[in-house]
Amino acid sequence: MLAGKTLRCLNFFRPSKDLSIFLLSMALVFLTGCNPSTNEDRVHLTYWEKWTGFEFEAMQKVVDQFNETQDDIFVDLLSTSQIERKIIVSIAGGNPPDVAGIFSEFVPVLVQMNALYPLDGYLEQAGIDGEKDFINSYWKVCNYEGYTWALPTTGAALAFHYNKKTFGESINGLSFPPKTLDELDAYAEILDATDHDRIVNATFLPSEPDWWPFVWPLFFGGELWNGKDKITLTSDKVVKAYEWVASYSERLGVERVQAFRGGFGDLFASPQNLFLSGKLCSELQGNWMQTFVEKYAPDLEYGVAPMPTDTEDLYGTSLVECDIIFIPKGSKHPDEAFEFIQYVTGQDGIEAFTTGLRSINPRNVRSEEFIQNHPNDNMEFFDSLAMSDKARANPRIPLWYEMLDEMKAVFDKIWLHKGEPYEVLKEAEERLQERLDRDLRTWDRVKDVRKVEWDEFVETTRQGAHPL
Amino acid sequence: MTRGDRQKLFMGLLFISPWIIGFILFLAYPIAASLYYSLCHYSVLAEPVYVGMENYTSLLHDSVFKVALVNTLIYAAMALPINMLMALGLAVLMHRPIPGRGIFRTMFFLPSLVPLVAMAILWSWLLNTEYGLVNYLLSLVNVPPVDWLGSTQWSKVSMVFPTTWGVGGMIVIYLASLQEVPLHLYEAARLDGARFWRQFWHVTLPLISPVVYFNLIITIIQLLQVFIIPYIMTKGGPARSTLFFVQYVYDTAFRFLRMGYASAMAWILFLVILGLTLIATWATAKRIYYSAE
Repeated sequence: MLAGKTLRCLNFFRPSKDLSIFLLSMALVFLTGCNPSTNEDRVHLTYWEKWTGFEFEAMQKVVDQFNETQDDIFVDLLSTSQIERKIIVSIAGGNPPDVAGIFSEFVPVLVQMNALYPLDGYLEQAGIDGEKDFINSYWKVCNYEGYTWALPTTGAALAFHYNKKTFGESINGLSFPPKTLDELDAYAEILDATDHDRIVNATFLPSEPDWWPFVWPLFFGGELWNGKDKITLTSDKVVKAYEWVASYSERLGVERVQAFRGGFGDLFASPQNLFLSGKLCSELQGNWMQTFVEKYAPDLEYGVAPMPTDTEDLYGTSLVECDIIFIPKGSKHPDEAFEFIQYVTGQDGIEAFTTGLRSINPRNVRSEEFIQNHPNDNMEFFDSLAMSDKARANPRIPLWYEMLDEMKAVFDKIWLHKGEPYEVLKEAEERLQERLDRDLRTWDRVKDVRKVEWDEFVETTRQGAHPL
Repeated sequence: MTRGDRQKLFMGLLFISPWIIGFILFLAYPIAASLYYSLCHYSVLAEPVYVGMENYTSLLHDSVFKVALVNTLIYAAMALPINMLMALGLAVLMHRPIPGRGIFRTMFFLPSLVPLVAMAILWSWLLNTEYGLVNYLLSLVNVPPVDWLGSTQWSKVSMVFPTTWGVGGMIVIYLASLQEVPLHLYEAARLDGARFWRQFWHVTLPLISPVVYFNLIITIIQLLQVFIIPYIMTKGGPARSTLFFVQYVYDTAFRFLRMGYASAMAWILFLVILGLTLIATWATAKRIYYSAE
């Protein structure tokens, strides 16, 4: 009888035992899985970066150096793809990173969405004069609507890269490297090699790589918009630029040139890359190219020069881009985040990072050690492009994605001769203008409220008070 | 309702509650929210602002929206008959007692297990102008190389190829239904002198017509929602020739962050799919035979 009762009791309690095991397991999961941090008392900052591979490693080194110098802050670096989109979602979800890095062209987009904290107060408090400290072209893109939103971490500039074996000397008295697009066209007439219906070698293709379909007007002195309220795709210089683009596929034949491009697939980081494989004699590329040459075409001898331009007075024009670091709105530790930003963009941090990336140091001053140890053979040249008055940034427009898509479609249509350049540009201009007008109307409705909010944040941080 | 019935109802609801909660959270609420957002300007970070039908009227003047819609309809019009005929034809062939039938069935089903991303990358190389297998095979019969992905004439056609690889699922459904056709009907037809085509037309097709209808509707819906293959193979290019409806919705929502406008587009797509489904239902109503009727 007693034994039976005991057995029943045991059976009764079995579910509770299972439940206890379950709860214990859950507790362990929570303790071990959801809170991997150590017992340190330091404030943990979450830092999202778009970098992967060797670029991520270079930033990780800087982060490690910062963490070693710190008793109060510990930075966790996380590689995040499509970061500019995820930042928005994370802010909306109330759980953004404390600090993040993106490409500079997204500053206007994020500012108009109220996704960033202004840094002006912090900068003043820390005694940082960005205008003096940073190369002008990189400093400008960190500013928008009268506030500073970010600081540059590394810079880039585009230049004319040429294969010294296939395109390495002057022909018929033309200047070398070519300074004007007329000269480049003359070289192309001579050097382009075809075999029956196939292109064997091409001198230059505006379609390679297809990353900057909007860039060509720069080399004609044209602008895609007036910087305020008007899209200017049908201005004479922009139309002339795309007529020049069309002339290349016209001369080589659309089908032949597409077959030539398509043969290698859409591969940049590969030995099959048109330029790295020696099939394309020259192309517009950035300062990062040395890394890829060393990896995929170590025997390639190449040189760099400014991109040829429509007229000689424009020679030296370059598209400059930079990576920036900022504090997303909703960051739980903005003061600590700025301390980290200050380290990363300070002389030591930025030199360590840009050495690792083989990229341009966005600060005006370089240490002797940095100059001597920098692994990019052409850094002095790229520095000169970035520091030039002719350095130009991507259009700083809140419709950046729309403009990029529109210019990609414009480029394709013109390149494939699916329309006259003026007509194609006019259609795109009308579409973008309509969207810009809509955006400006929305911005006019909210900008005063936003500015009050930003001014308050700036004032609080200027006084050294905690903003939250 | 007795106390026992109420208890049973409660227990029943309790058992299906995970599904109910999932349905409400992940389907019903988002559907209702998207309907509301389609009437708003909404950029995720700011509060939605009600604008009535503005998003819908703006779509009427959006030329890119029209391009995406027309591209999608052309693509679906090309892929639908090819997929339907291919799946049915292969199923009928593999239903016959041919040697190695099991191997063939496995071979035709396997591609449908390939992840779409892998399939897109694979087809990008198969359709490569210079080194692709497709152009190589064409060159054997003296057809000049075709720029499948780089020309506006061929880019949409190129998107049809990968979808034909995914008909394995449809083939399995057809095979199951073909096995349900009573053999005595074929015997009766043979006694009446009917050969293969007449048997297929007068016996097989009417009896599997509900399955044909099911596959037709599912394929229409899948084709109109095409996204991954073109997004990876061409990203909508060249010159927007492969910009399909769902990619434009995705770009508008997650790149341009115009959630309200994207929601309106999604509802238009829903109406287009609903309309085409109703047309397909109406057009096939008199040709579908259910054994219970």
